[in-house]
Amino acid sequence: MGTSRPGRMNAPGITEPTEAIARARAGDAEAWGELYRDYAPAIFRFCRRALPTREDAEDATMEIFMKLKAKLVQYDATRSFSAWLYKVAANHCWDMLRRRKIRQDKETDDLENVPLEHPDPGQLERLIEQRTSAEVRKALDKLGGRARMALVMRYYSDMSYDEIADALGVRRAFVGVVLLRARHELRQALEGNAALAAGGTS
Amino acid sequence: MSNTPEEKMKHLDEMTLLLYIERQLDRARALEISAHTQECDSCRTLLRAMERESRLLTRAMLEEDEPLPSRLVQFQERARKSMQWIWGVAFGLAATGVYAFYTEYIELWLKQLETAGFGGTNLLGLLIFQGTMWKGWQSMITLLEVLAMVTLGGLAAMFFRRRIRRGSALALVFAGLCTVLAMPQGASATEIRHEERLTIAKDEVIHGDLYAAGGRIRVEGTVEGDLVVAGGDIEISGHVLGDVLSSSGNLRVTGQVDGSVRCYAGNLLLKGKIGRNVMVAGGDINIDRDTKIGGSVTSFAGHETIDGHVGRDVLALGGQVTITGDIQGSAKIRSGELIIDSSARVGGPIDFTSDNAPQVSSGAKLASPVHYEKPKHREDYRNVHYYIWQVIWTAAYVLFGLVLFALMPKFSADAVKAAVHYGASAGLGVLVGFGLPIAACIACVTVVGLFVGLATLSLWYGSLYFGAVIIGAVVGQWLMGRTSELWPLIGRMAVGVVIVRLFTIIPHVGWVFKYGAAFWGIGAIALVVYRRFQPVIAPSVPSAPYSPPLPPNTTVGGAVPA
Repeated sequence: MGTSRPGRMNAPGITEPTEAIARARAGDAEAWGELYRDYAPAIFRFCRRALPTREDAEDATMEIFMKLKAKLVQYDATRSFSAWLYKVAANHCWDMLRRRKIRQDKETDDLENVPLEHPDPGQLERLIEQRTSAEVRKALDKLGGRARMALVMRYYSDMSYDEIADALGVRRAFVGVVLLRARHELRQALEGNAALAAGGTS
Repeated sequence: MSNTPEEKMKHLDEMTLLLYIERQLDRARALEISAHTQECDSCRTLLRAMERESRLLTRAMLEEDEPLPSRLVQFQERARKSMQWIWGVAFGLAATGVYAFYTEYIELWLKQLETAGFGGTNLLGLLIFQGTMWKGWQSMITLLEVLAMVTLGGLAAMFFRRRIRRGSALALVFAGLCTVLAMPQGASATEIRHEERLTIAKDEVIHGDLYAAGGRIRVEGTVEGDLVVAGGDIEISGHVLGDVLSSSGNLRVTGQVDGSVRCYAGNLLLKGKIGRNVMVAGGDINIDRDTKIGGSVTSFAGHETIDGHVGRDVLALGGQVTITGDIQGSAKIRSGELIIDSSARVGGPIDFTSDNAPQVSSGAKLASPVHYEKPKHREDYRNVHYYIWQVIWTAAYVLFGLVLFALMPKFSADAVKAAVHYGASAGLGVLVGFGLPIAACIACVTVVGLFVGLATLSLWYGSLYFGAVIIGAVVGQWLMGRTSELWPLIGRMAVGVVIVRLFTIIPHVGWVFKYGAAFWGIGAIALVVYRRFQPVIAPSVPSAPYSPPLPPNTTVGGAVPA
């Protein structure tokens, strides 16, 4: 059915680096290097999408891996390593953004106001058709911290609503609202079209 | 669509469609949406547009648009390589430090103590594990050692591993303390008394050890065991067959103590008979004419007068020492002034180290003339060795900083950041810098608090150095700009430490920089510790991973279905 969510449900996942993790836990520098080589590019890209500047992303990546070194013993080997890694990364980036008070006014909005509009489908379709992924990445820069984090967590690292709720400190029921608002912000940034961003009426 | 029922005419809102796309709706609701979109063009178009939006987002996110920066490529390699030699250097440094400390201080001390009549083989053992304090406690020494390890381990755990919850570490330490508190009653036939005004009457006999505490304590009777006493004003006019261990404002011993007297007192007056040694730290010490001490006297005092009889040697460190009595053994004295009166008799050699020459009366009966030595001052600016040592010390600081920064990168970086809040960190530095050692010393007075106190003291001492290193990093950042990266920060720390050290060797005012930096740094460290232990509102770190559907990999978002 056409409603299946886009994503990596059918994509082959990385085989779990169980052995490398066990060795890294025991203090094996080689194993640690292996983990770093395998996962640093993905974490850097995560940070690059979530944080405002390249320097921030580089700093954050290093900090996350340093944090990880100490936290590795907490990792439950029965769970997905990369999912856990993204969770640590998400918490770190969100902490960083919060500390800098990058949040915009929009984000202090009452989340209970669920947007229930039905925007003009044709207009949205045209907007999406005309945009490249590079433009989307550029537009991400204009988003508020929370909107950005939400989109990155959902569409980059494929985190569940529960995980996103946990990382952002909002109730699970409002994750959808945060994501939809983020999409509106993104549309606005892509188009500068206030009508689409706010959601037109049916 | 005018022929469709009215409710079907009502278009689906975007929120519902998003939740549908993201598979967050229950099955029944999802079927409803599916059915609606089959029939409603507008909703179907919107749904498709939103799905495309999702795909566009995923693609934009996953595209490998830029390679891993070289800084990140090198980061791990650099860290790994440097860590290896850091450990080598740290180990070497530690070994050198321990050796230097032993030969410079401990060995010297042991020798002095030995000449003063203490055949102690181990300084720590002499001070802590021997004598009164542990009589009846011997069986507990191992327990206490274990406790010391637990305490230190707990502190270390709190500092190094935030993931060990503070509660559990504290609980461990307190559990240890409580165990020790609960133990002594069972460990010996000890009598414990605690009263504001406590008097052991003349005809009273304590058959065993007495542990007493109170504002005013009079021991007029007999204690057959040891007397361990803490209080404001204490007088022992009776007879103690064992040792006396005391901590008090005033202590007068006019009676007889068959064992040793070890005490800390503001004022100490000895007027009786002491069978063995006297070891005392205090403001004023008076060993009266009628006193007879069988063993030796070791003292740290502001003013000390030895008018009585000392059977063996005297080791005295302090401001002013006056000898008018009779010392059978030798005397080793390091004080501001030494006055030897005409009535004095000293059987052994007298070594005196001071800036001031001793005042020796011609009538004094000395076995040999006073061997007087002026202490060598450390700040001998003409001596090349002084500068070599300065370089060694600076290197030691840098290496110490390196190890700490490498071990606790986040903590160190936070401390450097906190140090920039000049007012707060300086204020807190003065508070903690002075307050902590005082609190630790107070803790040391009580038997149970001894290890907590000692651990705190050593921690405090260590953070004096760490503080200087932190300030080095701050100074380095002033000169070379701010950084949040570890290795550049370490570089700035090294440069800063060298500069701070240069300031500290300035004659006369150097100490201001030295202690200023140390205390300022301690303040910054305290600030970070305080912030860390503040309750966190939103936990920033996941405690357990939640299983997500499937993690993405690092490949380009090629997995997007059509």
